Amino acid sequence: MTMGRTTMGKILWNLRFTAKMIHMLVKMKLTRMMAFRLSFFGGFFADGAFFVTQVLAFQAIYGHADEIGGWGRGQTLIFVGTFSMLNGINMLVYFFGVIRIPRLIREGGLDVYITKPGSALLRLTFESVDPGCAPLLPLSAGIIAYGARVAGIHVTPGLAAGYVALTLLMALLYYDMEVILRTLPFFFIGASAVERIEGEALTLNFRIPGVFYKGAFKVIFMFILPYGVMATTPARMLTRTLEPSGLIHALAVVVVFTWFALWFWRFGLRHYKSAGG
Amino acid sequence: MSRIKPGITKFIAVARTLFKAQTAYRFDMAMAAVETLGRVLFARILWGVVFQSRETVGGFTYQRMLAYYVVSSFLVSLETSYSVESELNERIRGGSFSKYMVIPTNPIAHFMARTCGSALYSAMFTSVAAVFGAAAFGARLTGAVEPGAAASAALMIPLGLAFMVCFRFWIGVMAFRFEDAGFFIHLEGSVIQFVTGAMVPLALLPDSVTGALRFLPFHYVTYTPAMLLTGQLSRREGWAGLAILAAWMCVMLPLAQLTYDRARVRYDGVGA
Repeated sequence: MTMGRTTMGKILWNLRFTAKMIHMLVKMKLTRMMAFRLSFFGGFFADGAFFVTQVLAFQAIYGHADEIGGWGRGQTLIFVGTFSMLNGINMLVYFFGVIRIPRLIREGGLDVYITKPGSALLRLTFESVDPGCAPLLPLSAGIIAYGARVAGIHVTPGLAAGYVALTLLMALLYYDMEVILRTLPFFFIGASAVERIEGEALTLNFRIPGVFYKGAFKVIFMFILPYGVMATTPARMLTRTLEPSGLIHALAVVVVFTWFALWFWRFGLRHYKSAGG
Repeated sequence: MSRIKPGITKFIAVARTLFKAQTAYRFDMAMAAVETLGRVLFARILWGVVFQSRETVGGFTYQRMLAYYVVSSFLVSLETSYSVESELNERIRGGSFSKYMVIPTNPIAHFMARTCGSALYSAMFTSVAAVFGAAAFGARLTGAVEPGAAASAALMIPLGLAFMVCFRFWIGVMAFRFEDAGFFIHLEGSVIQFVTGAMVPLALLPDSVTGALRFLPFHYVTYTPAMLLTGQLSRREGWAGLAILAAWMCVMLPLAQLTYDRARVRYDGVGA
């Protein structure tokens, strides 16, 4: 009985210690961020301005055209809002942690993460949350709601739940792509080309719904670098234009890329040469 | 005259040094070419879909729209002044700005010369990319361009780039006052892209917005020169635009210098 009480005490002490440590890490991060108050919301202003100008650009085009490739103004606004939402989740939760991976590999800093208890990838994913990017989420929700109103969509609870679930799955796909591309430095020293190409592919896909692609571009952006699936699929679901084959394709892409990202990370770790390598 | 000549000599020396230094960053230049191609590709895909069901959009035919994006993409690639504000911000924050306080050149002229050198080097790659993009995606660049319109564009392009250096220098030196100019840098990036016409031609915006933008200098950095060089604006509009841009330059240059002169006394970085 006494022994059981001691074990329970240890577990409680560990939980309290972990919670205190996370609290201190977040507090330290916030303190560092608040040292430059004007930049606290830097990510929000940078990306918010990007997506707002994106909306304005499409508004300008729709001022001269009723529809683009069968997509009306409302549907396109939902597409832009969904990409903004995916980007907001990315910036808020994992972006600033995952982008550090190539530098940690190059400089041997990953040693510290490998020797700590728990998964190194999990720690990297969640240790650099950026609360300054949180306002991107309501901004994106506003764009989506406006798009739904313009498109005249009656959003039922079931439709909203399906849209949210699909958007979260696409956020996972976004994360998978980031991890896959940042695992490459385990094998190549200069992987900045990959990151620059990722930036270009994202910029292109932030502006063009995936259904517009034809031929080789369709193969590239729907299967190989599936950025064309990310915002397009939830946007089509909310506007009730998503066919079952489109949904199956999107789910299959998420499953395959999530499996591959985790496998590729573990494979990369086995090739890690450490600081003295 | 005796003061101008050494100034020009220094300007040319800095520009030449930066031009040579760029050869060390061949990968960056290759990526600048890829970015130029990417912008043309974006236009090809998006506007290809838009023009499937109509002949003209806002007065543009498909060919004219593609030609606009080819020329504007090239002009955007020349506009490398964004590095000015980020470097100023980082150096002021990090304490290594002292370098620009001790070298015997005016900082604005120095950054202008640097941007000129890197833009010239970048142009070698991005011009090839733009021509390749035009050929690959079927954009016809040959059109009737008035000699007067071409001449006004030829003057407007370097003046627009010089204006952007002054503007971004002014933003960068805000770091003296606010510790970090990141807020302004983050905010202006996409906005500048939009108001210069790099995202969509400004002619597609409502008349009231276009009318207001005509009085701003950004209208003449990318949009107006691209329209002039693709034969979609007359020489009269070109010279009028040049006059407005010159007037803005007469305001921005002293403003940037004055802001720098007043704010630099706050700098306390030493030994960096």
